[in-house]
Amino acid sequence: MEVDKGKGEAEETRKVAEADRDTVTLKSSDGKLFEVSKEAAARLSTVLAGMIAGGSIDDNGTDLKQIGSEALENVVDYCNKHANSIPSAALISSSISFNTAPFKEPEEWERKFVDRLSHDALFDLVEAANFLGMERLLDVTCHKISEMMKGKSPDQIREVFNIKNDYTKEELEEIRQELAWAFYDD
Amino acid sequence: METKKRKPATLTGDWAALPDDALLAIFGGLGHADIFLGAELTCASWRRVAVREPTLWRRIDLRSSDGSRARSNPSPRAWRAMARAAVGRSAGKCESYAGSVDADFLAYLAASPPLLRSLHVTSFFHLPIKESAADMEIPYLPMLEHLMLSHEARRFYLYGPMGSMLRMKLERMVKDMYIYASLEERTTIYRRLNPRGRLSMHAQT
Repeated sequence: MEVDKGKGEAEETRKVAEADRDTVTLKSSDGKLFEVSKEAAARLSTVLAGMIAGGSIDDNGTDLKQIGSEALENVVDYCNKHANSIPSAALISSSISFNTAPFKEPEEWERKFVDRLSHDALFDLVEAANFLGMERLLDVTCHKISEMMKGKSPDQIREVFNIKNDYTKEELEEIRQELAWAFYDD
Repeated sequence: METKKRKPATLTGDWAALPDDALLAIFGGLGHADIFLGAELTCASWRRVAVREPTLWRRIDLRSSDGSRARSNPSPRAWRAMARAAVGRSAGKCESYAGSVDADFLAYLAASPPLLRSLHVTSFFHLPIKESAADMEIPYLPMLEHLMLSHEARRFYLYGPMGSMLRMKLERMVKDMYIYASLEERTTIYRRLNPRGRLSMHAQT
């Protein structure tokens, strides 16, 4: 019993020490370590929030096997920048508009943050944000991708993102016809 | 444990295989014409997501977008078809529509589940004058809170030869109506007390 009690206390102390740390360490698929603000990580990522609350954070680096170091660096960079930024009216306002989605416009720094990314880095960051349940980062990266697609023809979109056209010419024509002729016969 | 792992096969940078949630966020940032004429024709996996998800079509924005010089301008018939297809894809969840209308389309909207709260008319599908908006049957849309006329629709309403007839019809339909002109004099907004007695108005700049 005595031993158990001592062990329990040590465990308790370790847990307190862990709780006192205001950063968590994340480890990328290729083994690189990154420190991130615990508060920001918990606020911005549902997955990290769950891991922090559930005590599955490892002091020596919590394994995120699905995320490469470049993408994880961007995630951590985003979280830490977010920790230092004051939410502006743009983040809070959500008045009904005639636009399609109630999307909150990216802040200036968020815009700059995604603008500097290569296409590959942008893609990896979208996947990482999706994996970590980071709604805001997903919105910001996807907003950038929307901007890259606006007003473009299917051919141009395929070229920008290097997407293979898996439609046959006939299928594509069929879809077009379906759309234009479905309800009206001239 | 410490062996370095290569990137899993899922992260190959295949844009056609983006997660559904990401694609929805991307499509959500586009006007619906951009989805019909661009995104969904890009590849089959993107189209599957665009067609299948009703929430993407809850607030339909089919105002013609500029900056689409890369594509040929769709005919009025194609716009009509897009408008109907968009409402169809909303699977009865359409809350707002912005774009061109005609009598058939309004009837189609009215026959859909009555969730429509906001209607923004930009033009009347370039109808010949004898079928113009003045003769248009305007159905009752029970949940409608906001009706806006802009662009050609506003010009027609204010200055068109048949505009006064349309005005009379709308005045009967809209309880508390007046004209709001934006700073640029581009838009006109009518508003009325909605059934719950809350007065609200949306201005567009």
